[in-house]
Amino acid sequence: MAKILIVDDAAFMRMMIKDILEKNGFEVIGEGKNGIQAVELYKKERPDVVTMDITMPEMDGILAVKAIRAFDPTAKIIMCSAMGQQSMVMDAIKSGARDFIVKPFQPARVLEAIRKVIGA
Amino acid sequence: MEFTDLSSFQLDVLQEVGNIGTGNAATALSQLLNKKIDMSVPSINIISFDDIFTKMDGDKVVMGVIVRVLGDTPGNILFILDKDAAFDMIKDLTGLEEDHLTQMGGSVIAEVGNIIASSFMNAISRLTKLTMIASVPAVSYDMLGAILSTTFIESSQFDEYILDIETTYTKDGKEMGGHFYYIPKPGSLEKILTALGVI
Repeated sequence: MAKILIVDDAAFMRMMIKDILEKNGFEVIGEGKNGIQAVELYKKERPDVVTMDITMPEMDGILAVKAIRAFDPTAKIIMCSAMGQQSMVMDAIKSGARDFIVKPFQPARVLEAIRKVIGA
Repeated sequence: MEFTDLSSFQLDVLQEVGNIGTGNAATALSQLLNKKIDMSVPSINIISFDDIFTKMDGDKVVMGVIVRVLGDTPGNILFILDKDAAFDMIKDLTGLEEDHLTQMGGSVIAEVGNIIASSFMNAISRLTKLTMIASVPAVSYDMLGAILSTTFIESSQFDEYILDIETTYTKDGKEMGGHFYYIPKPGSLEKILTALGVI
């Protein structure tokens, strides 16, 4: 069972994503509410996939992706943000994100992205 | 440029910009709530600062989400929800029946504001090729006049006349008590009009 780390500053959005994942057989091994927690939790839990918001306090998602990829260049991170502008998507992909989901999303889109990056 | 100097053609263009932006925001809101969301044609309001309090029901207690717009066209986006509409939305999305704002409820309203504001910015950005970046949202529960005047001042609009782009949303054909305001900082409207070739 793939282990997922969810990072989003909104408790409500973490709850929504967790619900989608757990109903479909994924294990949520941690939740972070900013980029700093994301990096710490990644190092501690070594998840298979991370879902990462962009706009967050303390450290944003793009910086967190860079920090995680510096620690583990094979880290699989999917951005999950309402900021769907092309420049933002390009920034995320250049920083090492594998996919980009624009909020609001359908559950199927989240599951498809996760299955794709873990090759299931 | 003074807001009162805008030509009727420029105001028309701004209204269409507002229409595209708030239309995308309505689509996002509709997907999130899984309900049909309609909206009024946005109005470009140039109003005197004092009228915020006298003409706009400034004493009414509402929930507001403020998202700062950073990037090429700085300003603020404010999404106002009537108290009942806000608690309805929290119930729709989480099943929680609240009569005061809890941490989870606040998080729902903040995320709704974030998604609406970002959809607006994504659309305007596609149209103008300008970059607009959203800040972390802030939720406040206060009198409408207090929230509006703070947002206008935060947008450096302390002139006698202020400008906003306003839309009202309806859910399942009923007025849902949701208002969207984009309050640009001085200079931002000119950048949008320049990007569209009408200045």
